[in-house]
Amino acid sequence: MNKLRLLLPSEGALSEGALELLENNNISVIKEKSRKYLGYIQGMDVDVLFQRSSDITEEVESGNGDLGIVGLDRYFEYRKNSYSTKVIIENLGFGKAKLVLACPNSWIDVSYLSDLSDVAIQLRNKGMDLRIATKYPKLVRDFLKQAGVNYFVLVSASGGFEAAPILGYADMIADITVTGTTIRDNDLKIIKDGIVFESQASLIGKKSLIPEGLDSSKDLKKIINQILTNRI
Amino acid sequence: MEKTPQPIEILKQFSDKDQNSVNVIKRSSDLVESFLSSRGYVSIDTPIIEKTELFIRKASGDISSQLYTFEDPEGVLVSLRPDFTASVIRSLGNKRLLNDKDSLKVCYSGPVFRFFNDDSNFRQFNQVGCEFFGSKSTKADSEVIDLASGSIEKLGLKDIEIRVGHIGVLLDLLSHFDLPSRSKLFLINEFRLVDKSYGLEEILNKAKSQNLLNGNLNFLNELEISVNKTNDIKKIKQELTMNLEKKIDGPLGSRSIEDIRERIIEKIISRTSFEDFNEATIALLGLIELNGSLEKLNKYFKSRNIKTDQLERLENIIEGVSQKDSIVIDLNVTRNLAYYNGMVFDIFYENFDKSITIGGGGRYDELPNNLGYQFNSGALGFAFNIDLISELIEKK
Repeated sequence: MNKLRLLLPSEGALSEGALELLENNNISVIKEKSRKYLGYIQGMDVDVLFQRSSDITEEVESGNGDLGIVGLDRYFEYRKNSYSTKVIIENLGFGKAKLVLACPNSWIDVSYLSDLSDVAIQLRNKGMDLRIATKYPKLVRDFLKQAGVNYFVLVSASGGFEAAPILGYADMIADITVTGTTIRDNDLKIIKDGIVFESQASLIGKKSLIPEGLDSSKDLKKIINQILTNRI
Repeated sequence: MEKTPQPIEILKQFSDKDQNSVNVIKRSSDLVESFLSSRGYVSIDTPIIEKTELFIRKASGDISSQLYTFEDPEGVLVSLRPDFTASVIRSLGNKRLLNDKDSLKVCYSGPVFRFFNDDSNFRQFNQVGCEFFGSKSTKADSEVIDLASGSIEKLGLKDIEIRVGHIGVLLDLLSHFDLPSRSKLFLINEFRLVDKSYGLEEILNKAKSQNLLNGNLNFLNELEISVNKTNDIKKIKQELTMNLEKKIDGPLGSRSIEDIRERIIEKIISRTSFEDFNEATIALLGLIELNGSLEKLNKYFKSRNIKTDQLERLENIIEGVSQKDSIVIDLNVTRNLAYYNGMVFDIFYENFDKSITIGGGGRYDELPNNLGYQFNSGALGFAFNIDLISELIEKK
């Protein structure tokens, strides 16, 4: 029987949070000295693989991992097939952040989504589109459609795109923020009802591995043991 | 040992059909289409996939959250059709068949796709329906209602109720109040949701949450501009032009200062007072008790001194219908699509004590124009969910 494979974020606050959480659950992760991205859990039949947090959802989906700790925002954004994976614990209590919509401060007539839907129509009538830079096209598109904002174009973005409106390649951004400082520093303001998603670290897993009536407390050791038992 | 890969499951809320179902659906579909063609409607077909833009323009965004949308391999944003109407108009319009001289009657059948985010509706189903272009007369409305009930009769379904409403009557009532069109549309959309647990208070709360009441004009303080009922718009425009230039520095994106100024003025002009909105909502809710009786509806309008030719139209439509037994007047039937402008109807089947909507239709005169075709001679039609009907026939 193969070992159970747990995927953890390899860097950043999410990585530290995950290791701390495991420690608090009396699970000690031993890193292999020679290979930076591999490890195992002492006393359990579990391998640990450290991965970029943007890859973890896909790796569990494609079967390269069994369990993963990942931001809920990334999970819902990157998840392709809702049948093969599942959220086991959605609130691990760290890595909290919000995905928010922000527009230029100069748009003094815009505070709410209803304003945005007007602006989108106004631009549309001029033959232009409301351009929004984001790394989360799926979540943002769904959110805007639900909110009745219909005309917009999502501009794909990578790191540090808060400056997109200043640089001129987008009108607005939808990005993850914890404190809102970067947004304010870039002459932007958060749309008041424009919180697209509230995220925190979550435990996800392959659906086929998860037994019915799995312990719903946050005792990770118990959960992993139940999954190990179920597998055999 | 080689491992067998996991089998693939069917998508959620889609269905596989066995031979019996296939036959019943095909037969039902053929029955309705041949009935329609015996009444002068010619069959046409359109692609299942169209540019997303077509459907979004049609429904003004209302249906966009139900669309199956994706980029095709050439990078064009496309959607699976959620119904036929927009495609039919596009097809006839592109062929220049929509002109104000001739009337045109077409029918169609085939699968449509809607992403219902619940467990009670299938996300793909077959529709059969027809469209009638080129008549604004109430005779056309009566004809379409008769066609719908005639089709049902051919299918052998009994216990049918056709509930007929009229958007024009509601608009006549609302025209009596000082409301911008956005608020009127909102109220008509909400009206259909009204029941024991959804009334005045809930509608007002929702309007507040969507900033329909009084708008949100707080930012005007920052611009040192005060607005009241007697304000002179010309003066506000001047003040805005001066103050905006001063206040705005920083990126504007695709917008210009002029755009912002225009929108602020639009917001000031179209703001709604709570009193007007409240009164309009109460007047609208007052209609509910009168449903079913044209006489009472007439009295209601007269007592409020509101003129309505649309109510007279509704009377003429009902008068012109030949199968009156299953018709009920119900102004709550507004359908959640913003493009209907006159008569609208839902067709219900009484299944034990549950009523199921199996189809509906109405008049949408403005739609060809909204889709870019100059055509002002009237458009209306109806469609059935033939899968649902076949299921009921099978169960019988």
